[in-house]
Amino acid sequence: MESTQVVIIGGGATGAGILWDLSLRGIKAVLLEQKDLANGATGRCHGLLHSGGRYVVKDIEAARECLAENQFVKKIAPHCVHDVGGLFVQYPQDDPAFFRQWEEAARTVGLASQHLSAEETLDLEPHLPKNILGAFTCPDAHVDVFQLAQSNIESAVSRGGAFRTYSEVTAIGITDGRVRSVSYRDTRNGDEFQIGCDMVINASGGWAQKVASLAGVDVPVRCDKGSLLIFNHNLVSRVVNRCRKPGDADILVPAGPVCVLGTSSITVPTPDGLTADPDEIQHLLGLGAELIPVLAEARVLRIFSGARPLYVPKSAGAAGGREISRGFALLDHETLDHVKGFVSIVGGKLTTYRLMAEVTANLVAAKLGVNEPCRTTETPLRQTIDETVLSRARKLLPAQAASIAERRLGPNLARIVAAIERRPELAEIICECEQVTLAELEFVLGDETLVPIRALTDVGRRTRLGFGPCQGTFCGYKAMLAGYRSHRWSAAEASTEFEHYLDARWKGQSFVSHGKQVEQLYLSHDLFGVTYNFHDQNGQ
Amino acid sequence: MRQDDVSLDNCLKCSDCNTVCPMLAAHPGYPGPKHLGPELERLRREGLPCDSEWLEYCLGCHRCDLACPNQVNVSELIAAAKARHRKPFIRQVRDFWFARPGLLGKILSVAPAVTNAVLAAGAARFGMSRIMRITSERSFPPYAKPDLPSPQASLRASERLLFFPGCAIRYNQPELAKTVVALLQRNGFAPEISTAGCCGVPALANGDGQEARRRARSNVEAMDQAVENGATIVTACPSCGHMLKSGLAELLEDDPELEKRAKRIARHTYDLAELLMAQSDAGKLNTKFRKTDLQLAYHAPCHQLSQGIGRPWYHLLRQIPGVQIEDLDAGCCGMSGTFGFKEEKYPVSMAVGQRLFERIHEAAPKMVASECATCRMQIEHGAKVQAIHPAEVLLQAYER
Ligand SMILES: Cc1cc2nc3c(=O)[nH]c(=O)nc-3n(C[C@H](O)[C@H](O)[C@H](O)COP(=O)(O)OP(=O)(O)OC[C@H]3O[C@@H](n4cnc5c(N)ncnc54)[C@H](O)[C@@H]3O)c2cc1C
Repeated sequence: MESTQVVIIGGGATGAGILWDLSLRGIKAVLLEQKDLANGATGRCHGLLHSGGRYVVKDIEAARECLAENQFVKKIAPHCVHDVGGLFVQYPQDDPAFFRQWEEAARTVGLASQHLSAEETLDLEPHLPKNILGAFTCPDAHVDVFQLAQSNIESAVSRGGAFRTYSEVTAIGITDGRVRSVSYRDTRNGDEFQIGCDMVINASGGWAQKVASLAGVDVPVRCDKGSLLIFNHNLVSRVVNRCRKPGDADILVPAGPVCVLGTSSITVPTPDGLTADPDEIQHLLGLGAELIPVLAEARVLRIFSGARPLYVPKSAGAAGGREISRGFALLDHETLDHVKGFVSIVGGKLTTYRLMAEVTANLVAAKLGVNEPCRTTETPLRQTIDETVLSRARKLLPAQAASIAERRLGPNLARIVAAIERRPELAEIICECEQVTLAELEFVLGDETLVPIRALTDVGRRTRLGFGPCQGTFCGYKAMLAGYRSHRWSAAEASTEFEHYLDARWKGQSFVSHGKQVEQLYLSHDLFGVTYNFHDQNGQ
Repeated sequence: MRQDDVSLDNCLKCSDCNTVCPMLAAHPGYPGPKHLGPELERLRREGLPCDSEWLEYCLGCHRCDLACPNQVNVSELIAAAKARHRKPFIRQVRDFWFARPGLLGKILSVAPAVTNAVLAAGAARFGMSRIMRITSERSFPPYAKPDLPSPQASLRASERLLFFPGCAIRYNQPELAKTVVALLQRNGFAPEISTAGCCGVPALANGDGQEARRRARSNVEAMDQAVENGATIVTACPSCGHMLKSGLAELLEDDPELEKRAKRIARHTYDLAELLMAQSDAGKLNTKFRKTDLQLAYHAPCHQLSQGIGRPWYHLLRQIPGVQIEDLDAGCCGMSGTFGFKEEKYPVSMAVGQRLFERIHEAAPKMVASECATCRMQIEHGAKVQAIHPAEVLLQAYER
């Protein structure tokens, strides 16, 4: 039986952050994720790197935490962050008393903020409604959630950490009140495995309760569903928050080429199989148009839902989604439930993932008798890129493609550049919307990457391929062919991969009930369903 | 381009625009209108560096706009990107002048004989080619005193008409203005000649958005009063016509008042042949034609097609007894105004025109009729056949 010191369950930001932290301390760990990295809340969130502004009035501790982590993440992972800044906009329909409270609380927390007049604000963000009263600035940013999860894993792997995707934990072996092993099943081929270990960390977010039950332990987690709308292009250049008590659809985040509006807050029984319902979408769109009027006519690319894992200690009673603390809890099941070697980290936010990893790793290191301090606040997640590689890339690729590749690939850009220099045809742009080259695609499909994919649907999370307006209509097929040509998949496998790919891409679009995306979806249906005879599960 | 323009959202990535792009057909490296228009604009709004030298290769033919099934303002997006594009110094200086045929015309037509001698001199052309990157393969159109017919408001006018001549007619072919006026008079109109200057197409084509907007503003001011008083504007150059009909309003989008006036001008602007064809449809065209034995071929300029009025010249010329006319239907000629004069673009300009040249050779006409001055230049240069404005054919066909 394979063995390691620590098994981490869950490949979201928290689990990935823990793997990196442990690897930096020299602790051997294997991360198991039931699907692909960032399959859970991490890949289904706004990607707002909170400055704390959203919490200053209600929860000053959470605000302080966010502010500190905001600065750490910007420092250690600049390639994952669009440091765009944010605004808390004062709308005439909102409570002016809140504006004063906000300003005061921001000062108390030490949030760098400046008040802008209505004209100054409109100058920066012309899409805001003309009747706004002004805005406060704040250091909000966007963080690319897929990059962040991937970067933590990549760095961890280069330091000896290991991870396995499509590996669902099915049992936690306990003898004499102590965790001894973890069993998991490869969800792509059904193979069963077991790893011996000294400790197990439950970082499975909304699934934490279910995973904890494998060790006979109860972890009360409430799943709070939030739905998000992705718009085709950037309609704002900074994060726009509504300066009021946090509510639905009051944040618009410029997230790379797209922008993301959200969210709602609805308690659900499980994080699996979430969908947005039509009322919810109309509700979000209506409020979105209050935030930025042009959202009413802008193109929605897709709609998706995630579940916030909210920790509800038994004392919390029946409070609803937004009333429960967004703080996190580290549960040592040795002291709580007499199960040695088992800890859970639950709740929290994407923004605080590093801190959550730190406290978890501190506890685990102490239990393992490892005396290494946490170094994640000062160790960059990625090495800098060689200047000569950059200038070679700029010669080979158009300006925007070079700039995208540089941010996404980091030091791996050297491989892409060398590959294109050897075979110039690899400079072909396969995904036009997101400017992904054939060279990058082949790299992601190949064996040299430290974060290999297993399914065609994983390619988007590594490269953004298929994330633009056509939603994979034209590039998904080419990516499948590239996988076939590189002998990753046989013809039959490639075709199955593509069917799954289409299903996944179609699903997120099928909730968009209006506008150009409906036509886009029909184009894809007609092309692949009717013309190429790929099956069509949605029957649309 | 208005900041809140969301037409780029309409793009379904279907590539219909790419399939009709003459540059893409002639130049395999060209990324095509879909990329240079909506695709890059989306990434530009993310804040990425999106400049591309390929923007200089857009011919401005507007075929992409016609092909788009989804109302994306493809060429407008490209023109806006072109206006932000940074060029090396020499190309900047050259294109500054290419963007201002009105100013150039004013200067060069002071002493046309001298101008024409210099423009034809081998040594001068050699220098221009080396220093200014203006090809010496082509001859320049000769310059002439802008000797346009004076306003003829006293005639028994059935309607008030304002003829917008444009730079090519004003400075290079003023006799064509006389032809147009005579043709209109033969049909009962009493045209006056507008004093408005360059329409702004060359400025836009050379990436000078500011100059284009200046031209648009000044032309709206020059013609607004007449249009308000009920005048109709007539163009005989399809590029000027295209600009007055749709470009002005687009350029002035930032100023709602001017935009409104530009739209009014657009509603009252007609291509000469469009106007005559309307007369013909109403049974009012003067059809006292002599029998004229002439074998012609007709080339429809891109900016004629972009006006969405069919091919009125083709149908008018067919009404002349004895005239045999073939519609060449061979795409863009590749000249695109000043584009074909640029040293580095000359080869691709000729490559785009190849299809047309071959069609002309097959048709073997005595002359090619085409209403665009630079299409005619390209046809004479590339196919070595005489090219004339169809208005001349029509006027000559009238009985004396
Ligand atoms: C709509 C929405 C918007 C949000 N916006 C923001 C925001 O803007 N900013 C912010 O800071 N936070 C935001 N959040 C919160 C944030 O997304 C989460 O707090 C954070 O991503 C949680 O990360 P995680 O790694 O703990 O959990 P997850 O990302 O959910 O990871 C858990 C992982 O465990 C895996 N797993 C589960 N069971 C098993 C098993 N048996 N075996 C193996 N693997 C298993 C799952 O597949 C999953 O990948 C938002 C949340 C939602 C829902």
